[in-house]
Amino acid sequence: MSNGMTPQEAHELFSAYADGELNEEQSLRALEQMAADPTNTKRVLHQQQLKKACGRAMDSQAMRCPDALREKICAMAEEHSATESPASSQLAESQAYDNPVIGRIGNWIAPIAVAATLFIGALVALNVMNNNRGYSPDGILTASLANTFGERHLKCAAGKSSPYDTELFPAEVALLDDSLVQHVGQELDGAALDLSTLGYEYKVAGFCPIPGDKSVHVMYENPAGQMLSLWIKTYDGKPTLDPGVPYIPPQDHTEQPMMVWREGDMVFYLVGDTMDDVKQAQPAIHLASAL
Amino acid sequence: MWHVDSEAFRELALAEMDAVYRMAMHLSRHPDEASDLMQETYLKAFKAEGRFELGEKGVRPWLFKILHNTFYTRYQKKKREPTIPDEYIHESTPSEVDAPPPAWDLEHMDWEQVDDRLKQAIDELPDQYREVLLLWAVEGLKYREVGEVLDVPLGTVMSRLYRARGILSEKLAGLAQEQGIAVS
Repeated sequence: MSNGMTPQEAHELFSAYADGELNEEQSLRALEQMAADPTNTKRVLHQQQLKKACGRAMDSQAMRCPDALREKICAMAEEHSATESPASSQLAESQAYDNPVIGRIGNWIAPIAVAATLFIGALVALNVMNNNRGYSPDGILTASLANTFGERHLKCAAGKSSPYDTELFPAEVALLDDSLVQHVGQELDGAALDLSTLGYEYKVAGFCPIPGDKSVHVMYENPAGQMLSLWIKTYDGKPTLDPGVPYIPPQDHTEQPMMVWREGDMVFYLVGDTMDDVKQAQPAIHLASAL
Repeated sequence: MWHVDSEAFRELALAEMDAVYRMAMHLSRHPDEASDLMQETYLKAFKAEGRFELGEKGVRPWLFKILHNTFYTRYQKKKREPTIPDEYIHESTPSEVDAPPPAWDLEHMDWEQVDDRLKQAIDELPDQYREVLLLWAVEGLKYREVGEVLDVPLGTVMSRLYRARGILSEKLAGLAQEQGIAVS
């Protein structure tokens, strides 16, 4: 057994090391113990193998959420979203009742507001179609999610946040493909992640909570300090995207230039500081898969 | 941690349906029960979304926490039985950790058998251990996050994992020996 430790303490130390749970000082302590006794290295290997085996045994495809239940919960989400609006309109109605004069004016305001909204909406749609010429104008990426990507890009670019578990990803872009296969569980289908020909150097990669399960956030920076953020995730049918066809969210969805597209079983979300850079980088990533 | 608006929250939450269902199935061990649990979990999540802040692992640990609480509320209502204290389970677990650990050659294992045997062994674990193990191994949560989901201290998470891994190691070592794989 390891020096000065009970069996349980030793087990927990090497298990925590295998799970990447130790800080620098604790890791050094574990490494010292491993160097001193090869049995400890076996403990680490054993724990890694056991974790992998458990994940493999229990992460069954048969455990996917059934479609009927999925639809029910999506309907619940929509219902919940819809119930927020009537509440506010009920409040407006009661306020109109309490104040008859304003209430009567309010009766006229509503139809005018609807007409104005439709008119402005038509103008915005026309503008979006013009701005997105050459790209798919359709898509189901909502304004809030597009905006969340934009905010995340800005935060990480400013160093106020960063992708997570970056130590699990390589420091060299050439090794990134294999790492993504390992962490995302899918081949990249030939998409190229090296953007150095465009002047963008690979900076860091790590996990990110958006857009969902096992998403990886890759960041690039050019000599002018401009950043590009690329999120990569296994494609699960959402958003509805035709393979290889890029989609640009409307400008009112997010202030950050953004493009979304699908390559095989992967979906890519690219956010940059300028739309020119995003438009230049997207084909560079995509074209390699077409070769 | 940062706050996301309702729409973004719902999208992130809906993207986790497979993971939540999987965990609901592991906890309840029955599709109908899992379906009820999941609907209740999402209903509570949508109602409480204002309190949610996006962290490292996204919305998943938060949903798991609601699922865990919902399950145990329902479970305790149904069974009216106290959960087994950890101390009691400790007495019945093997002390194989004193022995050198086996280094399995996974490439030479018969995976179908390993998966089946391991699945059975995990299913047979006491609930407290099984849930910690699943959150850690299948859902990839950190010890701290597992502790937050289950509302237990970090030391308890580590201790439960220690016991769970010990039991599973012993069962897999048996399988390795049956298959004639060297256990060094």
